[in-house]
Amino acid sequence: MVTVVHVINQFFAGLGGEDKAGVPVGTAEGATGAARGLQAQLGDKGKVVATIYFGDNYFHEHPEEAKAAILKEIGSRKPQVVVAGPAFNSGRYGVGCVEVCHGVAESLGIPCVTAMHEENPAVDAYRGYHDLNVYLLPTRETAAGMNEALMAMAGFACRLGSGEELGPAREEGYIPRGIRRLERTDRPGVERAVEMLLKRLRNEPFVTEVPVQIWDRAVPAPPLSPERQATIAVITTSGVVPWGNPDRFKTYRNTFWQKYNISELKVLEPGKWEAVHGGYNVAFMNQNPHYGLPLDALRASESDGRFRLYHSYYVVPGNQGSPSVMKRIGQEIAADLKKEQIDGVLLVAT
Amino acid sequence: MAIISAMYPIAEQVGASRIVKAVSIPHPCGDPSLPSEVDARLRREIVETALKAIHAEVKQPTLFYPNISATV
Amino acid sequence: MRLDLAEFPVSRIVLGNKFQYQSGTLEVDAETLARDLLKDPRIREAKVAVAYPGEKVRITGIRDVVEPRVKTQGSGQVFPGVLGPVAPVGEGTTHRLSGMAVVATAEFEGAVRAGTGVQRSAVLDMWGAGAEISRYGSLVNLVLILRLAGGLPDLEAHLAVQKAELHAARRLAEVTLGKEPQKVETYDLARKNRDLPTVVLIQGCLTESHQFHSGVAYYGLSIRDSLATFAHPNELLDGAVTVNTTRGIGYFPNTWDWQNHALAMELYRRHGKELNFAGVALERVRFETYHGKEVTAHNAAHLAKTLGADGAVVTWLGSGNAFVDVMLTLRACEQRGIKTVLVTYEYGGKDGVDSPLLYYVPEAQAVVSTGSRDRWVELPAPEKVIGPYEEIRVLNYPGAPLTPASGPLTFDARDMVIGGVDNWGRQSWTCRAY
Repeated sequence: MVTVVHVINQFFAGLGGEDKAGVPVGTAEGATGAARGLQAQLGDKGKVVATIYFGDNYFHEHPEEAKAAILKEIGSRKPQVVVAGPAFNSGRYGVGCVEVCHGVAESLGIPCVTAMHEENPAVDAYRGYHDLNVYLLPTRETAAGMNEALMAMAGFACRLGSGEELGPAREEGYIPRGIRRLERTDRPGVERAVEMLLKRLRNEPFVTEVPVQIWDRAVPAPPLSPERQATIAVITTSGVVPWGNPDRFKTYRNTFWQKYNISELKVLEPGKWEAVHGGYNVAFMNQNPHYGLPLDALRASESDGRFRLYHSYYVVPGNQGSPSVMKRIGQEIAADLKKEQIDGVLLVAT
Repeated sequence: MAIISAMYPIAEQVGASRIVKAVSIPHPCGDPSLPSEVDARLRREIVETALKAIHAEVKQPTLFYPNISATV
Repeated sequence: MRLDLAEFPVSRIVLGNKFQYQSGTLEVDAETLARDLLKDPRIREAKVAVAYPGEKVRITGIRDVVEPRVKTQGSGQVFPGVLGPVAPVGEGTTHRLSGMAVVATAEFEGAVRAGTGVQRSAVLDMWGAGAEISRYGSLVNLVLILRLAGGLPDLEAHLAVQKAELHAARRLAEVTLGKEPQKVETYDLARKNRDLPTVVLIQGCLTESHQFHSGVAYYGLSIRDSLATFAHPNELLDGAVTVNTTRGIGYFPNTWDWQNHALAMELYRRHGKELNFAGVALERVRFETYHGKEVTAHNAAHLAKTLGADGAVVTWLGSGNAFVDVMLTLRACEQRGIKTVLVTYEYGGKDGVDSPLLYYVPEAQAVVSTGSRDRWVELPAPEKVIGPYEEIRVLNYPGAPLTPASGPLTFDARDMVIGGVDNWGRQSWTCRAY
């Protein structure tokens, strides 16, 4: 028999609606509220040992305290599986479910299953966490889908509780967690490709193996004020470094950045700099490093006193950089820019 | 921040805010096929466009084109 | 244009004192072969070795892989423009030694320090994880171990290695002259069925237009800033496309792959039954301005349309920004009403949580993944190392440290394994979302 802790909000615990959304974390032994429905679906295969509830607003306003309290309750009961939700299209409830599951996966290592509508804003956070131990199941928009959601979650809970390995998202029906696994299929890629094309030509349904991806949006930084002399720095991904590559950058897949002092220089002389980069023809850059680090132009523009060029430039050869590594490098450089009180940045990308 | 990139539509797609169109992947800031003084003027124009970009208010990915014809 | 490909399977290679073929066994006069190779003054040392699937052998210094073939009927010669004059190929009869390959390994310095022209070589394990990754791990491999004269310009090094491997490959295939093949397959685009859709293969080729060899050559001529051109798949079978043999890299197809182009072969297999295969568009990709990328995409789609394509299988080779040209090609095809499927490897980083592809267009609705190039590879220590290098550079930068090839190796990508990236979907690899 699989032991389960069910985490739900105040409404589904039966405490009340918006007026009760401020209640802190509480625990009831056994199944209460919506957890009774889960218990019914589990039947004799599983037992809800405790129901933990939180007020939606309480979680929203005190996320760290709420999470810590819930994790403490779960940790002391050591269930085999944690079930959270279903949250349907409720954003605050959804965030609570995803955050609790992420915390449980990270610090307790207990598998979790949660459920909500695919357009619940918390689904993005779930994708971003890449937790191998957390499964989010799609539901209908409203609580009209309660029974089918609980049934699906109970099924997952039983399988996870018995230590079963689950298959790919498409086959199992959960929303992918942004993890792609390298596997063998039963047929070579060429057969799959030609068959996919034939299906398209016959107007039959087909399934792509790599869905088109949508990128994050960054909020533009406010513009620099013309009133005050700004400090400006340059970042380059061209791989222009002092000749001899003193910090041993690789020509591809670099995992660190570096900055080099240029405060005494008016121009970059060919032969004193080289481009360490495996992704483009570096001959032009070696002849004239200004193509990747336009110091000559910056010095000319600086001469009228509009801005001051920072004493060093930042470099990472960008070739084949993995996005997660580049994200970290970007954050590290951004932190350094802040520390150095730099106002604006020009990034030259090859 | 302004990004100077020959692959400006990609910068736009991934959501960079201020994008300056560069010359080419292996030589973003200039063009080695030009006489060196013209090449230097072109580079200056690209840098000036980037400086203009970081002083401009933008709400979404925005492209800034250096006035290349003015340099040649 | 009709080509009969006569197959002589090889399951055993014996290094003996004559050249002959009998029921699956290829005997190679290793001494004569090596002596012939040494006639080229650019080669100062030549040896021959054999590596079987399952042996705990690691091959180092790999620059290219090629299948032995020889033409017995029809105009031209295998590897036209390289081994012989530029004469049309793809017609008549060609003999092949299947199930084996000539693996060209070579040691030389190279004059280019970094960038896209720097010499590189890859390894192949004949057993375990390394053999499973690479399509060459299941072949019986005849390894040419070459050491080149010092101070050769990179172009000369390439010419020396390529001449050596192609000569050896043709010499080996000549053992089948006058013999009965085990099987003959006929390749003929003219055998069409009017009721079936027309399909074109668009082969994106990253080429380095500024380098001494661009990476992909047609009849021996490097494809540089060219627009898309038509190639008959039979030309590929006869070795009309060859590669730069100073750069053995996991994500670049080798000569063997062009001779056995997996997608062209699959389209041929269904030709006249489920579709009409109309040929190959060789499309140069990796233009260095966005304008260039747009034009090559437009031009390749236009060529496909001119060939009457209802559908196109689009694939590529290489890495990086060349993929933008490929995506724009999908878009250009779809805009002309040509339905597309893209065949590509994916990235995703060590753990598969990074973006699988570098760039997307919304039209890329049908994509086949041939697996990830980024997942790390752990290779255990071999019992024996074959090849010119006892130590290899796992990291690739000027002055990178050397690692003994006889020990276990960890690669942060499949780039260092020859055939380590399944460009065209020959194998059954894929990635699935979890």
